[in-house]
Amino acid sequence: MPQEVTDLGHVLKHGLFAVFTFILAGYFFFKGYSMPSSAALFPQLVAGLVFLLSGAMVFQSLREAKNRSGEPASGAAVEQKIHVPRVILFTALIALYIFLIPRIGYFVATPLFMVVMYMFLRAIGFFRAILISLGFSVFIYFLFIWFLKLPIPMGLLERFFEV
Amino acid sequence: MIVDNILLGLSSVFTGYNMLAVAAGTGLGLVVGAMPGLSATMAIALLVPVTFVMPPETGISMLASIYMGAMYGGSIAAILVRTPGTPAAAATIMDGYPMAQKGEAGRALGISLTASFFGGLISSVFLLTIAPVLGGIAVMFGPVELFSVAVLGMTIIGSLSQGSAIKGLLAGAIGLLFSTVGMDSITGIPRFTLGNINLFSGIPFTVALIGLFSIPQAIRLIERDEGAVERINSITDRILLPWKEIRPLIPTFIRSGLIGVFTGIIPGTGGDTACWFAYNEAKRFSDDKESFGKGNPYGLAAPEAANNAVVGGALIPTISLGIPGSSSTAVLLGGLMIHGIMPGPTLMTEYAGVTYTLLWAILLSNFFMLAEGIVFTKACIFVTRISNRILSVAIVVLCVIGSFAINNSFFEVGLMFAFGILGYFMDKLKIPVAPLVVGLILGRMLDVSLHQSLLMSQGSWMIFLTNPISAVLLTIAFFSLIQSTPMYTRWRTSRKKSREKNNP
Repeated sequence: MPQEVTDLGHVLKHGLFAVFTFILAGYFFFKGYSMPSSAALFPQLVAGLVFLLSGAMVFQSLREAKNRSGEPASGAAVEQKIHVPRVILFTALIALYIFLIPRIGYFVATPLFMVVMYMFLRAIGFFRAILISLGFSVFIYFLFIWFLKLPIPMGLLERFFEV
Repeated sequence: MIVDNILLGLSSVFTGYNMLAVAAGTGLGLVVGAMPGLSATMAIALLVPVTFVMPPETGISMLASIYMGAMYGGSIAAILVRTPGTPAAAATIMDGYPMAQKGEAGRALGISLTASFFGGLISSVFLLTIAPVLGGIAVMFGPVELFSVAVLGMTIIGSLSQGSAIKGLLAGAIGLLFSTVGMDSITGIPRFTLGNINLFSGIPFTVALIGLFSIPQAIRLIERDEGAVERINSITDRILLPWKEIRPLIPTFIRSGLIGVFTGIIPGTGGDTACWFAYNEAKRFSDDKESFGKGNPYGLAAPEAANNAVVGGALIPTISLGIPGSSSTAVLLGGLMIHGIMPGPTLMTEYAGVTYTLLWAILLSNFFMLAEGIVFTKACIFVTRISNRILSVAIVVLCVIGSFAINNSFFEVGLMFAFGILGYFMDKLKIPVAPLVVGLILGRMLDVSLHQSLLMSQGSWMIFLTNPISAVLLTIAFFSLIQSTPMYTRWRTSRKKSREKNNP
């Protein structure tokens, strides 16, 4: 029974990715009709190829699932489990970090992000997390602002850096 | 002309700034390679924005040196922690770790360093001799031949990618699709930009590759609990080997070096393939097959010479034809593109100064690798102890600042993140990312050369078959596709079975 679930998941995952590639290729293919034929030719050809290969991938995953059914669980199944909630929260925190940089400034968002992440991942203690995040921010400051002259948004620290 | 350019590159690489860049790049590669789980490709991708302020030849030489340094660095983690620092060091574990367990960690690292040096040196010589000749032929190519070369590159990298050929080709096709976003080079109209002005100049290649190679890596480092790791905590013996110990290994260095060069030349195959190939060959040639896997020095020397030799091999099609041989060289091409240098045969002519400096930089980086390896390898033991969770957060911070640095745009940071998520899902489905990157690079060349060829032939597709070079290249592409189909595999298996039946 668990094998069946794994196989179904295998096909479902590939199916979902194929839906994504179908939508992507569909957009390129049909949008091409509103363009001069010379500009649409190559993207439409490639979109057709993506349709074909996406279908082939789903077909292949079905065959793999069929061949695997009845076989004993492979080593991959014994492999250590992925912590899905951790991955989702980690990814969400990255998105929040990117969202906050232009609003509160890079050098506020970055140490904050690093400390929160280290706490969330239970990587190190609080004081070491603060030390590492500050040290890393200083390294970024020297590399990207002092050496590369990058105009990073300072946000809340803007006045401080102007002085 | 070629000799002039080679001399031009030689004089350029020996300037103080370029030598410093090569030394720094090699050292950085060594450290990154020693960190288990971090790949050379990711390190190069993250460093591309930093090289933006450097002259192109300096920046690209530094990036290539990271690649070379990381190939040796990967063996440090393999020998001491039993985890390959880079995928190319997977076979190094087989005999490297048992040697370290016997208290010969220094000797094992010394063999690995010497093998890496010899492998790198062999590949550099090949690169310096083959690439200019091949490049000389490639400059004679017109749009018809260029289209076929790009098709061949795409089909080979797609069909030879690890895992399923269908998935490799699909990834390549998605990359080609993304490459059409932005202003059309022929008609000048914006295509597939969703009305967003940030996409008018296309999807920034470097931003995409930072996302594709680094964000999935950061997530992979935290997705599972870190288990207890067996490790060697100190190196008590010498890393520098006496000549009498190096001498018997030289045939293995040469054989594995050649395997690495030729594996590297084939697009889609890289250090991870070459190291196992060389390991198996070393075992096949050995009189003492039993000791392989138990700390045989030949079993350590072979994969290490091969994975460093891949660097030069993979750069041959990258430089002469503009077709990257591996994901790392695809990222190197990205490094050239942010300096406004487009991949293709013009690399050897219009941008000869940059390209020939790069060729010499690869050779020079071997000597820096040897020197830095002798001095810093023992210090790298500390690097192998850094926790994955600490690294993953630092990678994310570098991805964000790196993708912002390219055009000072937060839209591109978001785009990098989106590509990162795509890369993670592709990784989970075992869809290789490298063909997508190559598709993104070659897309424009394919699009433009297709247009030009059809204009020349007044719309007839037969031009690709009537041109002899193009016909040969497309035939090879067709066969590379055929050999990757399940029908071909079934046909080969049934043929093998029937042969065994006839000759029991």
